[in-house]
Amino acid sequence: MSRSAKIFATVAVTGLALSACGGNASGGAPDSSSGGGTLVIGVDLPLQGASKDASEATVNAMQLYLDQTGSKAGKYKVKLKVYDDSTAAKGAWDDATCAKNAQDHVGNTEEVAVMGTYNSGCAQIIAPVLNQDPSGPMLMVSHANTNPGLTKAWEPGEPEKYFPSGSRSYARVIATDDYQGAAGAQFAAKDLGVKNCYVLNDNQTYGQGVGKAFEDEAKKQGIKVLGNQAWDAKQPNYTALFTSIKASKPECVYLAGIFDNNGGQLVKDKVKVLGDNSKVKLLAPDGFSGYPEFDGLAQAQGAYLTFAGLTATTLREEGGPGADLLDAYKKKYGEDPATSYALYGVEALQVILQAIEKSDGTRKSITEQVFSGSGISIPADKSVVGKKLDIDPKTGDVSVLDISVLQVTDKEEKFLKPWPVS
Amino acid sequence: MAATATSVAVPAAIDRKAVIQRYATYVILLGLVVWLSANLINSPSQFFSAGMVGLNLGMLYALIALGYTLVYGIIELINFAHGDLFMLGALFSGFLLTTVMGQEHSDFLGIVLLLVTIVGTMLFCGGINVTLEFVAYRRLRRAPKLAPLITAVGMSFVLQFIGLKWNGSTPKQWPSVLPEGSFGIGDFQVDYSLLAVIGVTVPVLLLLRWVITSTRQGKAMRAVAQDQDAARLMGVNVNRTISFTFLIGGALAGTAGVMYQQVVGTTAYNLGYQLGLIAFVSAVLGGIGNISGAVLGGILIGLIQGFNDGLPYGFGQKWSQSVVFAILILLMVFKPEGLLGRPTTEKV
Repeated sequence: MSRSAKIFATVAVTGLALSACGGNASGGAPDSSSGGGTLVIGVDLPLQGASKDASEATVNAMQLYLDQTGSKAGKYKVKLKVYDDSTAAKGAWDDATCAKNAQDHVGNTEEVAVMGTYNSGCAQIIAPVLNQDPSGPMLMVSHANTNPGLTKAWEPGEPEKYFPSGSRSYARVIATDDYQGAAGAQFAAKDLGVKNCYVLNDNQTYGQGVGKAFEDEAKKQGIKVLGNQAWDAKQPNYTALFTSIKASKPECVYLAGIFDNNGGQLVKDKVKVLGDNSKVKLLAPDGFSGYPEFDGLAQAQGAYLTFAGLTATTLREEGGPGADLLDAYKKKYGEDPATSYALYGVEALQVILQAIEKSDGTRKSITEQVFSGSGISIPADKSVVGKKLDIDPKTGDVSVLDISVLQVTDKEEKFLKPWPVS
Repeated sequence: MAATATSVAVPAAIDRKAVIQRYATYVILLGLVVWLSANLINSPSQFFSAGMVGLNLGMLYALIALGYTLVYGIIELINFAHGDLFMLGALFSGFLLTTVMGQEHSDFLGIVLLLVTIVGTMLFCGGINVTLEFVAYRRLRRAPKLAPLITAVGMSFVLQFIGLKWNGSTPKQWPSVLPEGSFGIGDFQVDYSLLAVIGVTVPVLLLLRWVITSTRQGKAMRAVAQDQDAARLMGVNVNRTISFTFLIGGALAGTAGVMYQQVVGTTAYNLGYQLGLIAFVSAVLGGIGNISGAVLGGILIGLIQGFNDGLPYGFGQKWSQSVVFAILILLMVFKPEGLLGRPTTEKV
């Protein structure tokens, strides 16, 4: 290449890169001469791998809700655009794909807010990019990120590092792992009466966070934590790992992580080495909830799961908009959603829709509706989780903190009891 | 990398090098013995179960490692697609035994169908391996070394893609037809599944030994491995002999696939990459091209992993791969030809 060609190429590539990161200056405001236009809400979920069923159910429930409400938010028409943050090769969320999606959300000029993600680690990658959108910050509301660090002090530098622009742009509609991990430990101590427990984590953001929360609370509850080590998702099996754990005679094992990380093999080897789940209790957080493959495993029967929200069973009993939506879903698809997170997806959508309704249709204005004044509040008769729901404008956290305890029996996750959050 | 032991060098220098090598090997071995003894004294039952787990995995590594070693021995090609062939074998086994024949429990019929599955999968994997050789490697036989190597890597991706489409990207769980449970005294328990693995692996290994040492075809294989041109002049059909080697290597990968699918019970499309790498390391550790070496290397690595993950004074599972490779590197520094390999002057 001659020198001038090199210079030309450099300029061209730089130009491309800039245009890719750009987005338009107005950031989403359609031409509002006709009193409104169509705004796009991005939905960012892992659509391949083990989470596929849960993600599809979430998208379906959201679309169903939009169809029921005429796809409108105030004077604007609204439609969903679904982004996949997983790869076939990984079979789970993938950080490079999350980074690419973040740029695409910002780059898609019609898009005004993002609903997602499913995995906390993915949200950590996307949130700062949306926050630095020159026409924004762009709003992100998650239905399933439970890692505390995204909204409150947790690890060093959190949550500030997700908001480089200085103002907040990330909210969520579920309780966090400091509650969920603690609830798991309290349940193990009070209801199961275990005296000691072994924690395994999958070495990812979510797994380490919920494992740490469980461990801290377990110690307070007088449970001896025998160890907290990572399981390697790439190992062919975990027989040797559980052999070393067996020596410490655990009464319970807590699997802090997601089922996608070879969770099936892990559970099988737990039962093979330590005995079934009535003998040595098996507890897991919501990272193992909503996976039909897990529920169907013979070795998973009897396992206890915590879920950072209310389940379909509870919502049905309570009646109201949540139950109606569930009935409509069942009528359309012939079954309940594969995950209880589907309704929280709708709840997050309700938050975004209300923000759009109050705003002037630009990204910046939509985000401001959530993080200024009294913030967003969904009244109980509208809210699909059956309770009045407020988003704290200072933190983006939610006022409703529900933790459910479930048990896998007969190849289904059965609701066991709600757990009071303290 | 070749260890040139020519008579040009000063004898004293060779002596000193040899002494250092010998003592370094002793030190490494002594360290291992101390570590294992400490664990054995601390908790004998745990040592025993970790050893059983390791032996179980090691047998499977050995079966896969044999395929690497056989092919390398005869045409000096590291067949990178071999691990993925094993993965397809595991998928095929699940497909045949559970999906087609619908066997989900352990009973007499299950064992019969398992034997049918083993034969079926052996043929399936052997066939794929022969096809790979015919389509991709044969015309590159006289090409520079890198060309077949890159082709093998390419073939590995092709097989992985087939596995991805077939199995999906999530690991799949399968029911086992092997009897569950274990027998033994108190804490010293041996799983029935380990017996099954030994019961399949040992006869297969003995059969392989017999084929190579005592049959006409085996003699042809050894001749081709030594010198292709000379073998051709002596009337050996070189193409057929190489195809036969690939057939056997594939059949061994198929056997490993069935045993893995039955004993571990999870299949994933990227299984071949992980296990293939470990099996390749086993082959190198034992001395690439050496059949007994591959078995020894496989069992050793299985044991190292089992002990490391399962013992009170181990590094834990996080370091499993690191420990294996650290040991390999140490050994390669002092004994580049592997445990049972012969020092060579022109290979690699």
